[in-house]
Order: sequence, then C-alpha cells, then structure tokens
Amino acid sequence: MAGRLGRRVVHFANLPIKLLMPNTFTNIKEIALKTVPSASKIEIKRVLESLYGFDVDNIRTLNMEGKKKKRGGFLFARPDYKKAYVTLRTPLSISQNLFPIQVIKEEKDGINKTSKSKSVVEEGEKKKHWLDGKVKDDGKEKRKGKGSYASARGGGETKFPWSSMRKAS
Amino acid sequence: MFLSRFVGRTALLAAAKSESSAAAAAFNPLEQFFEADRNLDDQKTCLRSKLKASELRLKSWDDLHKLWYVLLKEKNMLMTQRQMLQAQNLRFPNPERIPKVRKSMCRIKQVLTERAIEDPDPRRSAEMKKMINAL
Repeated sequence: MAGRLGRRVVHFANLPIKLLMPNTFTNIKEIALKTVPSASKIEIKRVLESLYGFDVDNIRTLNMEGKKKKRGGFLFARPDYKKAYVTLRTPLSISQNLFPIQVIKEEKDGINKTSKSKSVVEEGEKKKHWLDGKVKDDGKEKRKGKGSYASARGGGETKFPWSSMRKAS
Repeated sequence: MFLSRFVGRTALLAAAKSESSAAAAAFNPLEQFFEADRNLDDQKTCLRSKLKASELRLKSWDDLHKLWYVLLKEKNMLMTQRQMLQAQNLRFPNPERIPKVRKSMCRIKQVLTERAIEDPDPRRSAEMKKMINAL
C-alpha cells in the first residue's frame, strides 16, 4: 500500500506510443501500438483512456526484439519494442484523408500498377528475344523485316504478348 | 490508484478537445495519431516561438502541465507518422520536428525544476519528486 500511495500521483507522463497502420479504415475494433518495453499494460490503458479518449476493452502486450541487420559486415540492432493489441468497445473508423494514409495507399497502388505493367512488357520482350535466338543471324535480319511488317500490319504497338507470336507464325 | 493524474488528464482532454475540434462530440481519438493538412507555416512557427525558456517561465504550473501533454501528443503523432512512412520505404518530411518537440518538453521540465529549487525547503523535495517521477 505504501508503494502504491507513494506512486499514486504521476504528473508528467512520457510514454511514446506509435500506432501501427490499421488493416481497414472502417469498423476498427482492434488497434496495434508500439511502445517502449518498459511500459506496462495498466500504464498504456490509462494513457489511452485519459489522454486520447479511447474506450479500451482489453489490452494484450508482447515484447519484441528489434531486427538485427548487417551493413558491410557490421551488425546493427534496431531497438527492442513492446507491441500492444488494444481491443475497443466501440468500433471506430478513420477517413482516408489524414496525412500519411493516402500517401501510403497511393504508393502501394503505384507499386502494384508498375509491377503489373512491367510483367506484360517483360513477357513480350522475352518472347521476342527467344524467337530471335532460334532464328539465328540471318533470321534476325528477316525478323527485322518481319517484325516491322507485322507491327505495321498490327497498327502500332501491341500490348498482348501473344500477338507477336501469331504474326510471326 | 492514479487518481489525480487521471482527473488532470481528463480535464486536459476536455480542454484539448474543445480547443482543437469544432465539433464537440464524436471526436475520433484515432485521428490524434495522424496529421491533418494544416497550414504548416502558421501553426508550427507560432507554436515553436512561444516555447522559448523565457516565455515558459512566465507561465503557470497548470499551463505548463497542459503544454507538456500537448507536446507529448505531438511527439507521438510525429513518431507514428515516421514509423508508418518508413514501413513503406517513403520519406518522412521535416524530421527535425521530433527533436524540437523533445527539446521543448525538456525546457518545460527545466523551468519547473528551476522554480522548485527556488522554493523554501519542505516543498522542494515534494515538487521535484513529482516532476522527476517518470511514468
């Protein structure tokens, strides 16, 4: 009791809480946080309730080691952290206009798009190269004529990898 | 257990809510971890200019107490942003904001310790203990 009384009043809390990216933007029932490993469940719960105003149903915590990475033969360790999964009593939702969310989404979409378009182009190019290799040197010259002819027939660039094959055969 | 802190912070919460958001009810607490697009020039420069030690010394204990939590929230928000962007290998713009916030929090504590030292004997220990008490 003495210990509790002595520590009852804590005026300046300094708990770094980093929220991890939520899976969906609507109907969020559980959120994930990263903190210092010295933070306790009760502490996190109190901070969230009093400072941020979350209504917390349940908290589960686990300690994680930071990733150990190498750079030029040197081992670097990222700092250890504590993960906390907080279940909320009322589900929340965020709008997508808040700062980093949209940027991240855009980046993801951008990455997906570029990867998709790349795959198509690569296939087309690869197949062209494979055919050229078979036809050999004379074939290359022929292919040039054929290729240009074919493309002229096709009417510009062909997006589908199989179109070149049809025209070649 | 942590009664007075809780009370203090709920008051702060109420104050912060009324200050920051126009709509009083249905304030999404998750939004406090994200940064809305505000005029970067106006808000931040004026905030930071008010946080010089000379200006902080003029403020009362309660004001500084509230400021501390405002800064703490700001720091948490910035760190959340940085972590999210780094997870996607994007660049975090203006990373110098975080040490600025940290140093202004340090300044608040410095000002309060200065005041506590000047006080006559019996209060010194009590006040200083409160502040140096981490978490």
